[in-house]
Amino acid sequence: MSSNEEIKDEKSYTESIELTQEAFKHLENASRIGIDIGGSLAKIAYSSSYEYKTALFSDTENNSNSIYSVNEIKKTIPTLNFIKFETKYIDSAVDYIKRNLSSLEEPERAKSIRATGGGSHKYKELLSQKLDLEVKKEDEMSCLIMGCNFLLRHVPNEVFTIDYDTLEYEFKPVQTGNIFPYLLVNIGSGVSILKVESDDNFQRVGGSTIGGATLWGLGSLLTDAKNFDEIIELAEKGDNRNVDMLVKDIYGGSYDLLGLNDDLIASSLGKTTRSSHESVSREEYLKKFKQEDLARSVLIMICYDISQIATLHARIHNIDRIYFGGYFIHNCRVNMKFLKHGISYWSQGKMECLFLRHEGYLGAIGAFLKISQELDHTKYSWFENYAHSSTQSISRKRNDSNPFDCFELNQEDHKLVTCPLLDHESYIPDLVDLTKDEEARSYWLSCFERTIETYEKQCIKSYLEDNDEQTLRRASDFKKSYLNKLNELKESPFAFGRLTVRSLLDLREHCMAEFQFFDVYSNEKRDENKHGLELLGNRLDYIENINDLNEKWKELFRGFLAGNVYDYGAQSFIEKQKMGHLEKFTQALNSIDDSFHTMENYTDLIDKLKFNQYKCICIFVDNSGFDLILGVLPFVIEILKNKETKIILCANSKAAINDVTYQELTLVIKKACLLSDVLNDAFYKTQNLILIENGSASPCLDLSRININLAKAINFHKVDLIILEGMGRAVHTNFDAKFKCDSLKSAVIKNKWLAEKFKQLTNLKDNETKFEFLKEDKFPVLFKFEKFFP
Amino acid sequence: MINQDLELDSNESHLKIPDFPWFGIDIGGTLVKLVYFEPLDLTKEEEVKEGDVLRTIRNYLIGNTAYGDTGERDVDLEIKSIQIGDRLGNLHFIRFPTNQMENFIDLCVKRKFHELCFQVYATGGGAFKFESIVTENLNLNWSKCDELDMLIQGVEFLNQINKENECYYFKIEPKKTDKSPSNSVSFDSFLSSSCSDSLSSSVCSSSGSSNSEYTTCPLQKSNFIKQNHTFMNTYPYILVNIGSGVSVLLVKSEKDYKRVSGTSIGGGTFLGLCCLLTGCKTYEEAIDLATRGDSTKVDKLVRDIYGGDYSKFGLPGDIVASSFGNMNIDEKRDEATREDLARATLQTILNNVGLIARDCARNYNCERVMFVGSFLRLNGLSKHLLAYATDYWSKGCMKALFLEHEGYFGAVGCLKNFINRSVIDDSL
Repeated sequence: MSSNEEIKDEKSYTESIELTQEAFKHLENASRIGIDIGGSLAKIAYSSSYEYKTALFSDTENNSNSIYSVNEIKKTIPTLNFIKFETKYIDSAVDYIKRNLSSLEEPERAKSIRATGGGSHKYKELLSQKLDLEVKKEDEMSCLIMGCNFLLRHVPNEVFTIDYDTLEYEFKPVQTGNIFPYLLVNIGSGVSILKVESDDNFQRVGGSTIGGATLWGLGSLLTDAKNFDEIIELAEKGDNRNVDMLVKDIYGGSYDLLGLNDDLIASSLGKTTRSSHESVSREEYLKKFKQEDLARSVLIMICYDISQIATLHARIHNIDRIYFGGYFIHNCRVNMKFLKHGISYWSQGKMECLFLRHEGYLGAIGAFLKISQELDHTKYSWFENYAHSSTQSISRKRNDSNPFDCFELNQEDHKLVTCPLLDHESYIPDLVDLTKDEEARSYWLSCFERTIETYEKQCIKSYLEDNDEQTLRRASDFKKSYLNKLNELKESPFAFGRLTVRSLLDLREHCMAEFQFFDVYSNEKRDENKHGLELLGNRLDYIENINDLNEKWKELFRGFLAGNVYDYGAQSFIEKQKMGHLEKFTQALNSIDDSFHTMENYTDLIDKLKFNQYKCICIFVDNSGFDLILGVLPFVIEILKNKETKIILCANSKAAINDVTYQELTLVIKKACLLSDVLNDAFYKTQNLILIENGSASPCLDLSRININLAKAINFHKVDLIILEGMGRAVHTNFDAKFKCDSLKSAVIKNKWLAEKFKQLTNLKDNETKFEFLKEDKFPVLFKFEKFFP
Repeated sequence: MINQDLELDSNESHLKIPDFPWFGIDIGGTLVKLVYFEPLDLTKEEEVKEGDVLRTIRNYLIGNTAYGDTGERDVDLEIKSIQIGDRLGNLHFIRFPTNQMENFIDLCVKRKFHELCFQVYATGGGAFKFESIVTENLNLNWSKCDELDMLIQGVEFLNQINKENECYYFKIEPKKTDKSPSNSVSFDSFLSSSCSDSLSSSVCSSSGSSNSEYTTCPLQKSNFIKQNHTFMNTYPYILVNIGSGVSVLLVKSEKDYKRVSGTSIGGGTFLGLCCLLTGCKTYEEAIDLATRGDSTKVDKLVRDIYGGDYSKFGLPGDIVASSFGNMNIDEKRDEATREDLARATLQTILNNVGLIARDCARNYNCERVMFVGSFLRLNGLSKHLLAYATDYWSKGCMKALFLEHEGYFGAVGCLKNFINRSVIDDSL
């Protein structure tokens, strides 16, 4: 039996607090609201939208100065917002909602609010009176399950387990298409064990009366703790062995002969029995024991008991994934630690003890989804907006200066799915887990901190025309906001899930978007695209004149790699460019380590290409300008010559640094068609060249989240070679990705630290990858061809 | 099974029976359990051979029912005139707290037991823990036996000796609103805080003063009628031994069993918590308090959270949602009496044991769950709670079985092995 209701002193009191837009993002556009009111925490979920600026690119035939024009347009992005705060602020919150919701249309209002949670009947009147809305109560458990399914499907890095010794979070990949069956163990006052087999099929299979309120109740009886968190704090400091009867206490020193664990508890609190000779009062007797030890003993007893009962049910129902939720868990690492230990003990390591990053929001999300059935998971995908989500959600302690915890999801333009050729069983996109690797974390955090100036300047530069006070302020606000988040991440690196270079890059983009900066490199990209197109003819001629076929392919790949030097994401490129060292493409060609052709199976790749053995090659391209035009296009044109091989070029859907976007790619290809008949035929006539947006807005690539149309095309055209280009897509992410087809990962490593780190990592992981690093003054390259053997 | 002498395998029965005295001892975390076979058929020759010391032991043990401050003989459990290993005698059951183990040894020395050399089979953690101190002070041949082996064999053995009288269950019938039939057992008293009857035996016919305003506990609505059960038809079953901690065993036959689960929330937790929460000093006191308490003052019920039943999942409003769930509230904490706290502690622990036992039974397809262990001593309330919980949570599919000699099976197992194995030892 359980309830998600958090208990507190029954005396209900409210406190007023000044509310700002910071807490209730986009509330003015909110359409539907779900509320989960517990005894101590209230959670609100609503759907809304906000407008953001983006670029519209269009052909400009008459303008000789630029190859295409960039205009600013506004787009609306649907959002889901979640807020969590102490129930004592519910009055202020409801007042704030009332003031800001006034715009809601009458027909919408009637069906627009759902409430769940133990406190919902208590506050039902308050809600319906103040908001003048009909408040419908929803079943708590089904809300929890709907919320859980939603998080599992839509929020990457949602699921984690905890390391018993270090208490660090360990994030687990989720097969979003295969989330069932699982057990959801909700530990509120008591415990409910729910078996979930599908969205509609779930049941309460069991429960226990020994739950969160038992810890609170016993803790209140045995210690001076004033509230639940104080009991946890005591327990964190205690040593249960002083009050628990251990197996070794019963067996004496001989326990080790029996192969029994040192600290195995035979009888919880078994050492607190008193002898009949003692005549002290109960109070005095209680003082003989340390409160910390008692609290810890009760906490461990409850955790082991719950994990035991959960394991028994999992076994009965043949399930090996157990998720824990409820306020007992709520970011409380010591509880998670003992639950985890309990599950691995009772299941002999066969079952997974899993937690959810947004566990506190389950009920509110579920209540909200009841009135938002159109949030069909088969149609929409969502991403976590880091700029609009707080990092404190993973800390148990309330932050008094900002008592509102927010979490925002934004709708993706496309439904995102797993790349069909990805061997996705154990896919983790990122190479380095900065949550685990402390040295890497401090390197990258300070690296992003250092380079923030560059981006602030770029933001201002991109708005050169209206370089007014307001722009300068926005830019400095962006900088402040990003630096704040970085500082918070130093405190709690798990806040947004696995901390990675990718998440830090995404965070920067989200922070820029928050202050209405978009596509800040669009002018640079346009100039370089123009410049690249001017040089393309010469480059194609140069390659055409190489007679030796092997030399020709070598030159093509050399160019392919050299183009990748032009990367505004890399500080070393920016420095070299400033010094004028990369004005000409030949300088780039000479700046890379060109021993790539000595790679082990290089000739296999060349042979397959020479003899037109691929049906369709899918290339994930990287940067605008020289990279795309002088690096990728000559290679593409050479392949398209054979007319048997198709090529899919995929570019980002939205801008990130100087990565080419789908819109830009289309315009560039159209211009390039004027320079190459092969390209022209392939693009317009045979349709052997296909351009698709990949669904991403990041310099990195999560192959478990690509545009569904791209996935369909990959299947339809029977892609048999995947090429990942650039540091973001082939090193920071996907270095370890395995495919059900051949793959080529190609990138110029423009960061010395990364090159060194990479060397360590690859030596550790794979002895077969041999490539030379850091020849004097040359950028090392990654050029890794992996053949698929069915 | 006409012959009482069944514990010895037939191919060994021709071997020599060991000399007296015959003991079996089980030293647990809280209690030491001792069984002693008092021979009734000593020949003149044997009596001479027996000597003074042994006679003293015999006379001391059977001449008293209490030993020192804390030792006690459970007279009710004594099995009279049975034949074991060809000998006729009475089987006595004696216990004292484990923390008195050293006093016990001193007493033995004082009474010159150390002058005798004999063999004792011992089990329980204390068999290991106290081995050196025992063998240093007394001239004993100390044979340590596996705890669970002894438990299973003891259960089997006593059921053979004690036949139909050992194993029983409770037939649970809804109580009629009028006077209970005289042969049934009514347990209103457990629920009524105004009833001060202390329960001293599992068979209690006191109907108490039924002025209770609590309709919450289902126990009150039921009669528990004790019924004998024939042990032979029991396999496979789940054996739950509630001592300081709890062991859960799956028993397919006497030889084929395994420990499948257990919990640290057991008798030690009950007494420990009761000492901390109520200041009581003994198990008897704690049980007495619990008998008179009302757990609904301490626990949070389903209706406390949902305002009524949670019908979607079929949970009635009057069942417990959270043990001790009201004790974080200052006023409720002030209102709760020692009795209420003891009662809540007892119910929490038994509910949990019942739940784990039931889930193990489901995992291994068993219909019977047998509860043993010293925790059930003097504790009719606990047995009814377990019987009720097993029936309720399994929707009548499972039956809770109990044995008369609750905590003594480990010690009996030792005695049985002593008789069997010392025969073998001697012949070597």
